[in-house]
Amino acid sequence: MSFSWLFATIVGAVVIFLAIFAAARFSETLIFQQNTFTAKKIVNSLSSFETTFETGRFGIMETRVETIIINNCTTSKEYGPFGALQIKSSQKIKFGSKNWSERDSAMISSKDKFLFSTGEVWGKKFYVFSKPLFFPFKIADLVYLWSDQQQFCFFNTPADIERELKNQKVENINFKRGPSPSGVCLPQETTVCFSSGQNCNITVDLSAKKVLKNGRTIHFEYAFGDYDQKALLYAAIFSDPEVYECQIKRLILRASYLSEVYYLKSEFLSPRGCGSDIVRNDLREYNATASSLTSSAGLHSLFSKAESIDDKNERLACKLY
Amino acid sequence: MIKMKDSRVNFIEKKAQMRIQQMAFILVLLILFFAIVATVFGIIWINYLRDQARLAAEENAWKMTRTISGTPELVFTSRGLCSSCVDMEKVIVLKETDFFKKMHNLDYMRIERVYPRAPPGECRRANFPDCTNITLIDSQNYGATSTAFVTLVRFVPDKGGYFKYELGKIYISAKEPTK
Repeated sequence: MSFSWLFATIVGAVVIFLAIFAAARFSETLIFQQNTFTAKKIVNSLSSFETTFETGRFGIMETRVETIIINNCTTSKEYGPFGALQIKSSQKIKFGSKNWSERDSAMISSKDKFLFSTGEVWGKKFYVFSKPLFFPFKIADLVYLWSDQQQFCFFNTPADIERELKNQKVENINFKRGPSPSGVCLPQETTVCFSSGQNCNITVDLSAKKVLKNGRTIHFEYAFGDYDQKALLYAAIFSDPEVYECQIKRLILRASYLSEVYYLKSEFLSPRGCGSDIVRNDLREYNATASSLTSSAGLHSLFSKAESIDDKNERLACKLY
Repeated sequence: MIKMKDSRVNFIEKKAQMRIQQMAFILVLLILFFAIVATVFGIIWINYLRDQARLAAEENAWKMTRTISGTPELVFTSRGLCSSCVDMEKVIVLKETDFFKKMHNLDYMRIERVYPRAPPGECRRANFPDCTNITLIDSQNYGATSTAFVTLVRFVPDKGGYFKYELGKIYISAKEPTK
């Protein structure tokens, strides 16, 4: 073989190798970009589930391929006044060296959304249910997320909860009754028991306002409003304890801020014959209590302050909210 | 004979070196060509990504115009008949803070009282309600604004005190993602 042919062969092989290497690296970048677009679209679509006068909203988000949604949460003020919801996503594209579930996207943050779900939710169809949280004024819309891979068996559900979920046409939840969940709930379903019993993945104690899941106890409180009292209960059921506690801290930060806003509003209206010192005192106490809370266990003390504000506000001629 | 052989060998060596030089030159041109193509492609791709990011921000701002009147910081009555009305007194109080700037990725946010007409001017605590505009986020350069009509509510102390409902418009502009 002459030298020129040998030289050309070697150089050609090097060029082809470099081209394949560049193509592979570029495809990884494309996959990262696609996953980031998906995560951004998911966060944007959560805006559609914000309530105005409704007591709740239910909808379905579908993706073309199997997708993992990774739900992070931070209370750090670096990301926003009330921390932030952080979402990553990954889609099942069979290309490249990494497992598809490890090829996630950039972190997409949202400062005003509160998403309750397990740390990782995967599937092609995602069920989204939202309810407003009043404590006693509106704090936020709570959004609950689960997928077609997560089926729930609500066992011995109180009638009002069953009625509400059925009225909202919430999917992938089966309601069963009996002496024990085993035998009526399927093995692949997440069993949610409203009475104490064995073989329950999640146990709800409505009187003590506690939910036991994954070996941890998380606390909830009944919210205000005729139809919206169970917003925090659903949050406790549909999310991991870590996600729940973090989002509760964010909600409390927002509640604290809102109490300041209502305090300032009351001060502004006072010279106009509206506004009350009594309510302002209660708002100050509410703010102080909220600022000192560190976990969901403190919700019960905040509830009593909220009740006091709500009671006085109802009796005002010009209501603050 | 030996001299002829030497000059023939020299000629072959020079020809070989010329061939190698030509090959190196071609290689350099080839690499330069691929580098230019990659640069042009990179510029087009980055512009495309910027456009996509801007479109996503604008879509978010557009969605926000429809739902912002229901956000807890602006909403009037949490429960009841006016759960998507904007509370003017809260807006006046929040105008003095930079809350909306920190909370939302917006370049511009203004609420305008449309009907009944009010005297023109920017609203402050001192001149409220004899004013028209409440600017919550202001900036020198902002992009296209999305708008939506909203119901505004404020307290009127006359005749024993009552809540007055007015028609308003909200203007929102999303922040450019590259800012």
